[in-house]
Amino acid sequence: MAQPKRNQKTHSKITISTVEFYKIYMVMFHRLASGYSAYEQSFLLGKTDLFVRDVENPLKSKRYNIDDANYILLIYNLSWKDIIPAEALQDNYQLEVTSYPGDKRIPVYEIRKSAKESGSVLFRNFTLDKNEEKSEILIVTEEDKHVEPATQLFLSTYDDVKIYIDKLLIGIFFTEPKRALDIFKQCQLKFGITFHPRNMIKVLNFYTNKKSGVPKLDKERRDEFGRMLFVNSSSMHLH
Amino acid sequence: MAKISISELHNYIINTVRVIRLELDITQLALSKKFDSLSDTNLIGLVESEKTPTTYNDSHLNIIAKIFSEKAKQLGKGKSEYIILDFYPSGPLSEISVEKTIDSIPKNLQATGTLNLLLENKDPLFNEWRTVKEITDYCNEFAGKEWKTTDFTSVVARAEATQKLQRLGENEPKYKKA
Repeated sequence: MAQPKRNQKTHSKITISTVEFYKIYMVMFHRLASGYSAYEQSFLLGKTDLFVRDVENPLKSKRYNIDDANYILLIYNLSWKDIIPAEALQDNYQLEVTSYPGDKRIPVYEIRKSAKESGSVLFRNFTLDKNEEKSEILIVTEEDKHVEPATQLFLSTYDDVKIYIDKLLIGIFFTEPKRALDIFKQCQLKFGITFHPRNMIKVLNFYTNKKSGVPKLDKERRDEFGRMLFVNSSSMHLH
Repeated sequence: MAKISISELHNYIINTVRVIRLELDITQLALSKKFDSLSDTNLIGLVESEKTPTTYNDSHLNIIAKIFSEKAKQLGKGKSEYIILDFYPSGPLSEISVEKTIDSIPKNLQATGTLNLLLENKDPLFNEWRTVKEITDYCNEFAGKEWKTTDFTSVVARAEATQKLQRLGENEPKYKKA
């Protein structure tokens, strides 16, 4: 990566709850380890496309609330100790965030603890550069919405998933509103627990897109937690 | 009054924090003051009310864990370190909405917590002078337990020391609301 010019860098000081910070980046590491894009995780959360990208952006105030965190555990089959610290932390961190355009002008954020803070091992777990395990810097590169990270999970083909969703559309599955996670869990029953949702999401987008797809599904409604609901378009009048 | 809906998880956390708070002999107001010593807002009272939608976030829980650890060390009995994970269930819960419900008789409450709960509820028991045995019998009936009078001796003494209860006289071990 080319070194950014000094005048392209912007510096910000951020105060953030230590627990919120820990949670956001532990989730990010689980996401990356599973090969999910930020968009794919947003989709399973039933949120807007850029929700996760904004949460992971240290300059934005969006956070995972307790219910979102619970939902993330359901997505990745994690337990609370995977994303919640096992010790009481100081209340807040003072962070220094340097942002600059990286490759293809995609924003890069370098997050450092303020020199005034001490006694925490937080960043040791978060370091992306494996050669510097004790580095106190976390580098987050903003993700393009359509990036498709490599994954060790099972990527079924688009056609295989489409055939299965077609079966669900013919049956009663979509006559009641379903969240993306419900559909994902149903696909896991069919394709196995290691099923990756990438092509499921593409199929659902195809069946909800009124312009370039075949709008057999409607996703206009949300549940009481603000999560997108999918329902057979022909069943809409029943709800 | 419309019912308040929150997630089952939030309801679990609120009730779990409340049980530990009562066992550690911390009032709602004393805990609220730790969040903002200059404010009269009773944050914990709002969270523990079925009439308000206020819930905890993880920043609250981190602060509460530290306060609980501090108080537990002062009391010098049982668990001495609390962390946020103590307030969560063992794993994720299905995301369902429930009516916000504060347990009237929490299952896990011990003697200290039960006495504090009755005091917090302004239970009429303490309007009259009561012996420790009477208090024990009442708490057993309230919580469906089989505590002995000895289980309440130090509990009642601490309630007197913290001026929640007053004692009738040096040779008269009867107590009522201070």
